[in-house]
Amino acid sequence: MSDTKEEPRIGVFVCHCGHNIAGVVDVVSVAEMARDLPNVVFSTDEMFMCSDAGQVLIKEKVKEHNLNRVVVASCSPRMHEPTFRRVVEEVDVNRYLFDQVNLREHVSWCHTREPVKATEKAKDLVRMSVARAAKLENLPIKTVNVLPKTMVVGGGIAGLRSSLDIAERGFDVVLVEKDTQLGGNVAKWTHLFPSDESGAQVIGPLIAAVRKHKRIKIHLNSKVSDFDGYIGNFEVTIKNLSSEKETKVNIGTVIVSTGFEAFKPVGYYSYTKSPNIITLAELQEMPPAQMLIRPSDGKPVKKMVFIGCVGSREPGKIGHEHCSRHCCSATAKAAADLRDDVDESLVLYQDIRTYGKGHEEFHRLARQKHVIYSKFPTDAHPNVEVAADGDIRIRWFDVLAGSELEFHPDLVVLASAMIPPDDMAETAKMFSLTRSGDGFFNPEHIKLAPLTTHTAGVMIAGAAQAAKNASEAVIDASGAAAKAVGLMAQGEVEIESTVSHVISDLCSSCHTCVTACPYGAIIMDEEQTPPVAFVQEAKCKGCGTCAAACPSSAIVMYHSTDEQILTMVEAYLCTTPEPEGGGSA
Amino acid sequence: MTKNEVKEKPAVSHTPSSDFAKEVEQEYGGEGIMKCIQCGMCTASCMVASMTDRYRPRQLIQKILLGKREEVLTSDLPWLCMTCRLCEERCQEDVNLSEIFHAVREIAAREGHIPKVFQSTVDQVLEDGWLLKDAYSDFIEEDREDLGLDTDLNWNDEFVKKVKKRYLSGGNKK
Amino acid sequence: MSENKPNSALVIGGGVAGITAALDIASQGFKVYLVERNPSIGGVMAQIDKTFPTLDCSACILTPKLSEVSRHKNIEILTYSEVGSVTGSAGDFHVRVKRKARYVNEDVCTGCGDCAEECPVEVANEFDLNIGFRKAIYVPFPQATPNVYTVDKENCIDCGRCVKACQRNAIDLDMKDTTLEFHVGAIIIATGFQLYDITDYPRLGYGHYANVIHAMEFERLINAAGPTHGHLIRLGDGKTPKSIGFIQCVGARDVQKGVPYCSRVCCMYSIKNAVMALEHNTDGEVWVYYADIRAFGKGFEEFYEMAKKRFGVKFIRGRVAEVMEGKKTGNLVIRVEDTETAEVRLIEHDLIVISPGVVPPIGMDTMAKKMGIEQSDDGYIQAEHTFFGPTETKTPGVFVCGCAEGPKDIPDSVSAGSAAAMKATIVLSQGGT
Repeated sequence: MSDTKEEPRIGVFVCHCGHNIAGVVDVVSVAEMARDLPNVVFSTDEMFMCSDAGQVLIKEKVKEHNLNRVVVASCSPRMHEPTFRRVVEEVDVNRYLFDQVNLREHVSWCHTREPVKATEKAKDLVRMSVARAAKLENLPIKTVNVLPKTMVVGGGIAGLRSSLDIAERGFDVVLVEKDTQLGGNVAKWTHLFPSDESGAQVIGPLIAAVRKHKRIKIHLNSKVSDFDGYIGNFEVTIKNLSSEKETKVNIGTVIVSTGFEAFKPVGYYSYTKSPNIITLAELQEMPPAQMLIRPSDGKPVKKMVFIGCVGSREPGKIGHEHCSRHCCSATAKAAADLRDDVDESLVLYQDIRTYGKGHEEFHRLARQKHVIYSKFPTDAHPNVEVAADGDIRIRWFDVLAGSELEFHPDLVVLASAMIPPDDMAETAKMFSLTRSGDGFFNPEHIKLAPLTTHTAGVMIAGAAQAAKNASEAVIDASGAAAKAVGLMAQGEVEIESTVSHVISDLCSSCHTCVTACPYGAIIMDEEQTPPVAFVQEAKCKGCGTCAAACPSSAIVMYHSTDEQILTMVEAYLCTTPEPEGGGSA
Repeated sequence: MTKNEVKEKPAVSHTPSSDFAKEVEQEYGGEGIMKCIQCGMCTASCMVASMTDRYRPRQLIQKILLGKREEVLTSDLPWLCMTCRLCEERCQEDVNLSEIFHAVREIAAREGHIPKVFQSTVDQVLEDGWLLKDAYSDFIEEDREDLGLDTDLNWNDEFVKKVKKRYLSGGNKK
Repeated sequence: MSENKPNSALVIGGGVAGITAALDIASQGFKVYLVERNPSIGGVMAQIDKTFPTLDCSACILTPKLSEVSRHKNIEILTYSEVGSVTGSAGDFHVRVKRKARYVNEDVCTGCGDCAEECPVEVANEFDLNIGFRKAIYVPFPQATPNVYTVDKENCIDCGRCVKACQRNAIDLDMKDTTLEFHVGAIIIATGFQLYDITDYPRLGYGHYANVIHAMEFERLINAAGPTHGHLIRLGDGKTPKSIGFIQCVGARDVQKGVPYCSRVCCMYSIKNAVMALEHNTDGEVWVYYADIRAFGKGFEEFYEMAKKRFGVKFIRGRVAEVMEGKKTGNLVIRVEDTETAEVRLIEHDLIVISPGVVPPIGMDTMAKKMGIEQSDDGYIQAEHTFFGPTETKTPGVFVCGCAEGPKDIPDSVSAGSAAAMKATIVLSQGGT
């Protein structure tokens, strides 16, 4: 570890990032300018700092010039800060003596058409960072232990799969399900796709295995009523919804697999105006014998119509803009399966999204069996009217034949949207999860981290993450389990040291910070007289709200101290670098 | 028909039915009609479609699939297919349109719906044995003589007699 | 963990699925051998410019992962290598890996590039879809992992100039292939995919007309690190194309070509490419010709909507029948039926981009047969069961993820990678039972 009392010896590395930065910013001149900044001992530019070559360069120069601070001017720290921190640690520079300047997202990518000004901005930012780097301090690397127990919230197909995988891997599971039985939506369906198994046939073995496994403790008819703590050490309260009895458990990781709800499309296609207009979910919940019986009078269904995209793909309608992914395939399968027992079966659609393995095949099968597919215009949906005598009349324009059509079905099946369950907001708040436009939970990164979240230690899986089919939910579940086990298998995990700290001598016990902290990370240390505020570092996210709120200036933000920030402001405003103390560098 | 044309007609609604498609499917050549996903590859390839706005093989297939029996059988559209097979060559669902339209023609013919133009052509062949009797002028006969070609082209009479005997009066009906 | 059973895993394929699986297994403390036949890990994702639906720069989100893999103490990367044989069973597989000679010592090479400067041989760069050039001694892309050079012996003329140029004496032109043998408890197949060879569609003009390209070539053209430094130009004459047409369902959903299934990613990657084309040329016009638009995933429909509304990408529901070339201009005219209006249209474009479907990678059949792994009718690795074993194969202890199982996008490949890792670690922790 470098001694932070030493003279700072700063190395500056300016990245071209191929043409991403260098195409706009004159990186060579930025590196040249940096050479003359106070405390800078070495400065260069390099094609790709994140590549092996770039990383080796940092290590070599740290050794060669005895650098004790490193500034890399490149992409966003969100991209490569962990990479560069690891690199400097390998040559014994504390990771908090590293600073990254964003010349890409903050300069070249947003000022593409103004290269001269962009270069000036780049120089400003590097100058500021160098000033800050001189003030950076060593911070200790801390770890917390991770309890070898996972809580799985939601006992549908995803929750069951996660629970089993984790238990089989040798860790304990607490499975919390709000319903009185396990199985979620899949258990309710008699009909699945792409194969002919029923929901019960698929979910039955999973439920049996989960019940049997000695590592899994199940809480039915229960919800999480309190969730506190931090990664590896969550304190959970599980409340039984009938008895109100509370159970407290300590767990290491969480998987949220709370599934979805099938949208009840009131206001669409006369839903609720006739018992013979049902949703696809309602159809799939009927026992096979009942599927082709008219709910209104028990007569056999001879003519049926499926209508797609009900409550999905509606631009501008919050929560209904997304594609519900499973319905085109589910509809094709249901239509094909039921065709032999009816006289006519129609599918009214906008697009046919039978994208998955085996899906196109039963789309073809449905057509082969004479299911009639008819496309309606996006701006002129079918009109469904229910007459006084209960007769249903559908009228629409078949775009592809150019014909006005009319049909009087016995049964209308609306492929309605997959939407979040009604207590989604509550769940989000409980686990500090954010939600995307579709209403489901936001993953940490939609492409490369679809199963983790910004709440460390909390994973998401299945429909809780986005509309999907049961097979995809199972894959998510095993994936989320892998993430949870990854944390638990190590037994401990590093936490950020960029946290806040209360200088107890200055604390006036006003409690302002306790209330201000959005993460509930600050408590009063009752053992002191008077009690002073104390930051639980593992829960602190380093947001700085407490420090800003404290009327006594008693709170220090490690790695973002007042001095570190003010020196950046000074560096920005004073364009000619002034060595400290007035002497030469 | 284009969408505009449809709008000009009174909006008489049709009730979809799979009966006609089933009928076509039963007819030799019509088996694959159900496979069509209406992508438009056929129409974009079609020579006839590029020459006339009213012929859209894809749309015709959809009309069959919707059960517009009367409209399709009384239309001359199924008869416009040149059987060049370019659509069949390219169709990604392996729909044999030419075969299907032929099957439709069979059904149409059985019910007496043959476009006048086709009917008169066939009548001409059955009567003369060939299409060009009226065009076989003296000048052409002389030219043929000069070139040393046979001027008596009535050998087709025999053929016609055979056809009539076999297919139109007793004999084996197809 | 059992005594004599190995607690390491083999991941075959260093694309995003394989990398995800390797990292997840390694983070649990198990050792992973990551075998990749190309000189670098990264797979197809390293070639992509921006990814849907977020327009993230692909290399940018991938390189931290490559970095993580490279420095992970539990992962041994074996690039330029192929699995020779596998015997044994779950819990104890005996694996033989052929390490192709790269003629450069991996432990010594620092990727400085002095050798490539001296190399007199230029060959078509396969990473750039043969649009640009590379030397006979090369790294496939700047962030290649490991960052070491490889000699393409087939095109090397043995002049030895690279040997002289290398200050670390890392080059040995007499290197031989070697074999590495080891035992693992579980295997994950993550061998990815390739694109359908669209020269199979002469009516679309690919390979004959200069300004008909395919989606991956387009990707390399718009990529700042690509052969034209990110300038979208026509390769025939260097002009900037104003009007671009994208043709969908080529080598996908085609019963006659033996690829009846949907390739799942082409709708989305084309919409992304269409948006990128307009970002590169705000005056441009882009048309997408399709049968269905399959924007089914998280954020996909919203992205499609944005492409239409914000960027003005035009969508025509109709499969393109043929592409014709204007000899003088090099422009192309497509013939399509706009099925929504029943109009047959001839539309001129400066550039045509064909969106090929996805098929199993080269060598898939050989590998599957050699390892005795069951394939599906489409040639992919057969998953054991849709619900009970979506990442399991019919062979216990062998798992599959990513496109090796069937076409899929990056998020689905990553989820599957983690799922396969979970299954593999259960095997490892239980010693194969």
